[in-house]
Amino acid sequence: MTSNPVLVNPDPHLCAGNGECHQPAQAIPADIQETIVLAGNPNVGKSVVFNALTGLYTNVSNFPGTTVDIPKGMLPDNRLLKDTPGVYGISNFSEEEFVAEKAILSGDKIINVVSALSLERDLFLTQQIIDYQKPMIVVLNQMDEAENKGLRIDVPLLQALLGVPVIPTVAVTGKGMSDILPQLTKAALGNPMTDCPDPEALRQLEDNPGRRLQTYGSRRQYVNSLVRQVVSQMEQGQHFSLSRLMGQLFLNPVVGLVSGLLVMLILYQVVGVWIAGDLVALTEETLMLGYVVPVIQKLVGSVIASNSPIYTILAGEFGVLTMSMQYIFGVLFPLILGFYIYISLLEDCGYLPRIAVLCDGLLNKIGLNGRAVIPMILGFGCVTMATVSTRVLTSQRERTIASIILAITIPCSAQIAVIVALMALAGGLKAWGIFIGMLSLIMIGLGTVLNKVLPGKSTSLMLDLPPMRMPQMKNVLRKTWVRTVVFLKEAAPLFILGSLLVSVMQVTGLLTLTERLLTPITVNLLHLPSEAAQIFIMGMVRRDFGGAGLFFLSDQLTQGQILTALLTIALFVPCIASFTVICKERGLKESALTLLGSWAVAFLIGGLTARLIEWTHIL
Amino acid sequence: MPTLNDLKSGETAMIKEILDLDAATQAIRMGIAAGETITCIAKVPAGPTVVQHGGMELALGRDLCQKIEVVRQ
Ligand SMILES: Nc1nc2c(ncn2[C@@H]2O[C@H](COP(=O)(O)OP(=O)(O)O)[C@@H](O)[C@H]2O)c(=O)[nH]1
Repeated sequence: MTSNPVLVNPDPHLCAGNGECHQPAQAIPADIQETIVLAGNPNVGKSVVFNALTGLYTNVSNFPGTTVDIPKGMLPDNRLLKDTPGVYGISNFSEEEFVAEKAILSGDKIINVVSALSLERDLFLTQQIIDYQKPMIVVLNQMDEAENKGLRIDVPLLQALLGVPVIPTVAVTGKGMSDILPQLTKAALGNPMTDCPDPEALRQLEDNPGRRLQTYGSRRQYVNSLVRQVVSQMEQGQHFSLSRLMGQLFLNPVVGLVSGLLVMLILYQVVGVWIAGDLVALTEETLMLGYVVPVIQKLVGSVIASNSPIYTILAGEFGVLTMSMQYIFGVLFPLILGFYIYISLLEDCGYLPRIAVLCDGLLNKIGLNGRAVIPMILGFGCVTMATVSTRVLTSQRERTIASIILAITIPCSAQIAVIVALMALAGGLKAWGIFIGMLSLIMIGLGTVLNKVLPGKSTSLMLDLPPMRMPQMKNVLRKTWVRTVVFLKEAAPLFILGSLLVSVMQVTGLLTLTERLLTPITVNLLHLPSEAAQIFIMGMVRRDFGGAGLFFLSDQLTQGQILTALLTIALFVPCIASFTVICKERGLKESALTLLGSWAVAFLIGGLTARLIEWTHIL
Repeated sequence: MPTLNDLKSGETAMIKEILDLDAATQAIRMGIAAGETITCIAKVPAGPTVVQHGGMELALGRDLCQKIEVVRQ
């Protein structure tokens, strides 16, 4: 993937900062001839078109608004193609819209992808781009689905009415796709709506909500009249559609609950049991500890005496080379890969938005709306990534609440693996009950408090539900792979840094000193042995590091102590990586509060749990 | 005046007014505005209402539905 000379931004999720990507990006040639911007409503097939035009990976998903940063690629003749987040108009109701607006208004030419299924909705943006006097072409996509629904679209008439080239396509089969670039040279200004203000006036209207609504109203009427002329419903009467039936079914609370539980169960079985247990046993123990680590130790030992501090730092218990290899490739890689395949599947088929609808009522109580489901679920994969994806939320208030809840109460997949393994030692089902119960209580409590304390009001859900579709295996695999690679690229340096830190502390005696300093917390408050301090130090580097450290200690602990430690680590700090991202996304003050808050909550709840377990003898 | 919250699954209604400026502006872009006819296709108890209009399915939160007045057809 990375060898592709034009790969610029492989996964929008993993990029932090405003449109800036902290991943090493491939250079874009300086002599750009023209900037082409791809614009469209969510889920119209923009990503598929982008891939087809540039031959690159971009994030194809079915959940409105998972593309927040701008992927770029090169077209022949040094033309730059920019993708944009899916939006319904050039306004600035959310960060996504802001990003899209900037890109569209600064582009030289626009390729506007619309869905033939919902022209009434899609042509509003089209007309708005025309009204802004941008040279453009329209890609009329998902023609196959429109045909299946018995919709007939008069393409020549649409082209004449809009005044810009219209290319009918089926992006997933490639039909019509080869016409796009040749037609781009014919991009035209198009016919503005009746009595259209000039672009400058249109832009100013955006700051005047009342008059803006009026203008939008006229545009809506103009667009509706276009649609009436162009679209006709062929066969009357609804014919059976599986996609429709499934879509309806998943909106049923009972079906939703059952399917949700099933989805979690399968996730647990696949990621928690098969991958974390069986596969990781193979990759970590057999492959890494059996072959790779001894080889590294031998190699290092042949250069440096095995009792020297340098050896300990490089290849000792927490050695930079040994521990990093063991965790990155032995544990994390298979886990993350498995988790992302699963999430990508759910994303691509249109299941997630329906879950968002079902969860809306509950999330309202903690100051969020259904949209927050996506960062929450992504949070179980990696909190770092989830924090970035809070950008799909509409208001800053919601983003604050979601980021804090993510940082404190959602354990990440690497951690979940360790948790699953340790839970068996901690007393199985009962321990799970206490663990999940505690986390949920804290989530609800935290959300309720934040909802009360933070000024303003959260926005209500307004979510467009894409049709349920068969997931496209190619998209799912490509997305999974790139996400995994990018994740590892980000995680690896931190892992190395973390193990370096811990082994240096070990060699210099700082580790024992810190352990002693932390005894009031570990021993007195949490009723754990003093070595447990190691767990927290490592947990700060990466959350799962802490869990893994707990694994080594587990034979010295009682069941209650394991559970207490697990819960404390789960609540404890976000790892360095996610903390960095929280800083970037939410600012220093909010991040510092999140960090201190997480410490306070973690130790408080940890202490409470320890005592509860001791008093009640529940385990 | 009934609101979107009062519609049952399967009922069709005409939108009378959307009493929230921001929401009205956002909705009109998607084709949902006063005078348009929508069909309620799902209603989550104590949760959002899902309406269908022009080939699109839109889920609207409970608070928002309270501000959308409709006339049953
Ligand atoms: N049947 C059909 N499905 C399509 C077509 N184009 C895209 N899709 C599917 O529509 C969904 C949304 O596409 P995507 O490219 O992610 O949309 P984006 O949000 O606009 O980037 C994906 O599941 C695609 O596989 C098409 O022409 N026909």
